[in-house]
Amino acid sequence: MSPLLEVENLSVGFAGQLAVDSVSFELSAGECLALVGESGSGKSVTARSLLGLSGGKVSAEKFSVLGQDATAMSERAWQQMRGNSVAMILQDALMALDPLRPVGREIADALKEHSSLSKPERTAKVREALEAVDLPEPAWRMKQRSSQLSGGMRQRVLIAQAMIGDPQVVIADEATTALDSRLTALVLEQLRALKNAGRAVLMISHDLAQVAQLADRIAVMRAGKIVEAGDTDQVLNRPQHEYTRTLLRAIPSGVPRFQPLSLAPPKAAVVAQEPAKPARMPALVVEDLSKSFGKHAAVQGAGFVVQQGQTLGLVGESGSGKTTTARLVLGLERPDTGSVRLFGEHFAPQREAQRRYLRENIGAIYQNPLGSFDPRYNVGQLLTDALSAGRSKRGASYRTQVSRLLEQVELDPALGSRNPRELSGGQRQRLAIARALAPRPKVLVLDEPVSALDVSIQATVLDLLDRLQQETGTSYLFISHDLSVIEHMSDTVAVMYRGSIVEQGATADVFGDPQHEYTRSLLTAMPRLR
Amino acid sequence: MLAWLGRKVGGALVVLWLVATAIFIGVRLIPGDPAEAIMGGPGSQASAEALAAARSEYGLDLPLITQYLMFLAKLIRLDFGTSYALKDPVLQVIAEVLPPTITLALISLAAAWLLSLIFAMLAMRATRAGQCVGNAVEIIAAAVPHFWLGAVLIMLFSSMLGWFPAVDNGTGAGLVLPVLTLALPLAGFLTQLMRDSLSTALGSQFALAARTRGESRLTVFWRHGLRHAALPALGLTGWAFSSLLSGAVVVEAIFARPGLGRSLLSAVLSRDIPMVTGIALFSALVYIVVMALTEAIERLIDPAGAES
Repeated sequence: MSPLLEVENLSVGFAGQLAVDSVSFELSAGECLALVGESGSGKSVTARSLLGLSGGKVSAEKFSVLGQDATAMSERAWQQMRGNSVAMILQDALMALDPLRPVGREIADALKEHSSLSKPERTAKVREALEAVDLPEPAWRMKQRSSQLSGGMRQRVLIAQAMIGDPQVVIADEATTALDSRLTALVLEQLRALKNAGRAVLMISHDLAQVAQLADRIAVMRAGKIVEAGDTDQVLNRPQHEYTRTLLRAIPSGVPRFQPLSLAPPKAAVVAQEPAKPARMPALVVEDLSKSFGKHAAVQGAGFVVQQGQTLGLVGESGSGKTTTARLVLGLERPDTGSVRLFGEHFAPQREAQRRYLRENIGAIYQNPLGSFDPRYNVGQLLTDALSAGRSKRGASYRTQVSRLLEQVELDPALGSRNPRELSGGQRQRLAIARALAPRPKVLVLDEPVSALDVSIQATVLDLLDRLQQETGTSYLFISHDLSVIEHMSDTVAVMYRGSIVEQGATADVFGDPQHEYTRSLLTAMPRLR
Repeated sequence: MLAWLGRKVGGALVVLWLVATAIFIGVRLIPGDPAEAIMGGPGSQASAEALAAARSEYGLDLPLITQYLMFLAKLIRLDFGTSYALKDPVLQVIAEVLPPTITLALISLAAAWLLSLIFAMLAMRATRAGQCVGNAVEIIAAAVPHFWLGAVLIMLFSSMLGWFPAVDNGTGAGLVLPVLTLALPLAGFLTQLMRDSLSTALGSQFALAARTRGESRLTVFWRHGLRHAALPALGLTGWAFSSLLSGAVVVEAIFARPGLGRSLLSAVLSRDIPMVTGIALFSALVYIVVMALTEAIERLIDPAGAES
């Protein structure tokens, strides 16, 4: 049987710059190929060019899609192919569905393009497709808009949208990125069902661990080129290219605490130290914390302890109350019940005036640092603002401190005059860390600090956080939906489910011998390589 | 839905009361003696006795607070009084001049929407240089004052080319120039707004997703782009309508059209207090109704967004 996709020396250029450079691969029915690489490696452009949607100048020695010569295909022919024989699942289910239209109509649009079905027939088919992806109450849900659905439902709708035309090739572009482990498992399970049903699946991802479960073959992309390609087993276990090894090393699951995930930290590699002995007084004590919004109980009776110089990992899926807990701990939200103590002193609930002197002891880092920077400040001004506790943003007296902070987070002090928008995702997160470190806090609350980053960048940021903890003895409350990150970073772990902490203990115990049903289901869904 | 309607009506009543109060205070700040206006303006040289008689007849000699309460009590009974200048009931005068103005404003609004849609669509396909030119044209259109634009249009299309009459001759051709005068500046505003949201929508993930389903560029524009472009422009429509009403004052004067605007202008000039009050209150009412209508349409397009 001839392959459904045949690509030989495909190049895609934008204004003279090659985003994809001489890429070759093929894909047959019932097979799954994964294109892996970090953002900007050209993998998404490659995927889009398979639908004739790259927007750049495409050239190839051989480029055939379902036996048709794609280099000579008209726009009309492309349109007949898209959503019909080749479909795509895009990354962010919230962004990939029009917020102003009912999801059922979004799904039906493909039928409108490719069939002459009447409206009731289309509605019936959409319902079938939604039932096939196990969406509860499809007849009602299909009339809702994407913002009214939960994350899991949206993901299912997005898959149904791609499947409605019964395509032979399905392209999943970062379809599992930034999803919590149960949603990831859901998407992977759906893709596996497609593969078993004889469809060809092309997975695009930055995360080797996630594609490993499904892919038959893996092609690693970097700077527009495929640097290594082969069977999954071979690429994962006997990687030939240095870059593949870097990507594999960056996967945090199963890597012991403080062991670097990235190579070549600019200074000498950190000597793995014995974890600091727990001091007598814990850094942060949270007791019986509860918070409701209207009738919805966001957090119920959460309690945990963060020891000095240690990390508590708080893990749970989206909507489990992790972020509300972080806001309660930071004193940004007033708890209904319970208390937060910082080094034995009462921090929440407390009048702001009475706890202000404690504020410099606790800092926060968020998932999207850019949103937490004032867009009118440059890097130096942001740090000066933080160093002076908001009294100045230009003070020359802070200049050496600004440089020292930037060096501390391994950023070039010359970046001081740049706007954060010009920085890369990893650099922005380093800047956020530098800003949080400015008042020399003893506790840092990190809310999904690496969730928006590629695995390889995530590795360098995690290594930085490790190094800083060893150098400064800062205690971390590390919040993430990503079990492998939590496993690597935490001394102790608390598992949150529907607002309650269902299990907590030493990392090795929770991951090695989970007691609660929910923890077990999370761990089964977790992609593991080691 | 009923609760929403109830809230709207309650809010509208409060706004109308505030407007009425503001007008009551405002018209009394206009220099000059209202009694003189009743007697036919400052040129009438009415005797002191006649002025005093007029004052007591219209209650102008009572304390201000009593006048205010009487004014409110009349409003509740929908009694807007009698025009000083025309000696007709204010409601009757408004009923006569309202239809031509509303027609003019509605046609101008529709024309502005149509123009900005066409502009926004053209801008999508234009080159970089073309977009710059388009942007400049929009800003200029949005910035030109009505009186200048009206005069230029009359000179160009009526005096020089003779395509359209400057004064309405009853064929409908007389509407073209006044409508253009009102619609062009508004279209400039709306296009700026639409172009922005249109390019955001068409560059978004859901537009790409629509393309992967096999929709053509044009289908994506109609199905997705237009909705997103219309939403912010719709939010502006309440404001746009009120700007059309105030623009009507100028345009009706330039094109010698009967209407609310022209009546307001002459009422202000002749210090015709009941007339000014009535027209201002009516304009506020029209504004409130238009706002509620646009909000209802917005809820139809984006039910989820309206709830939050």
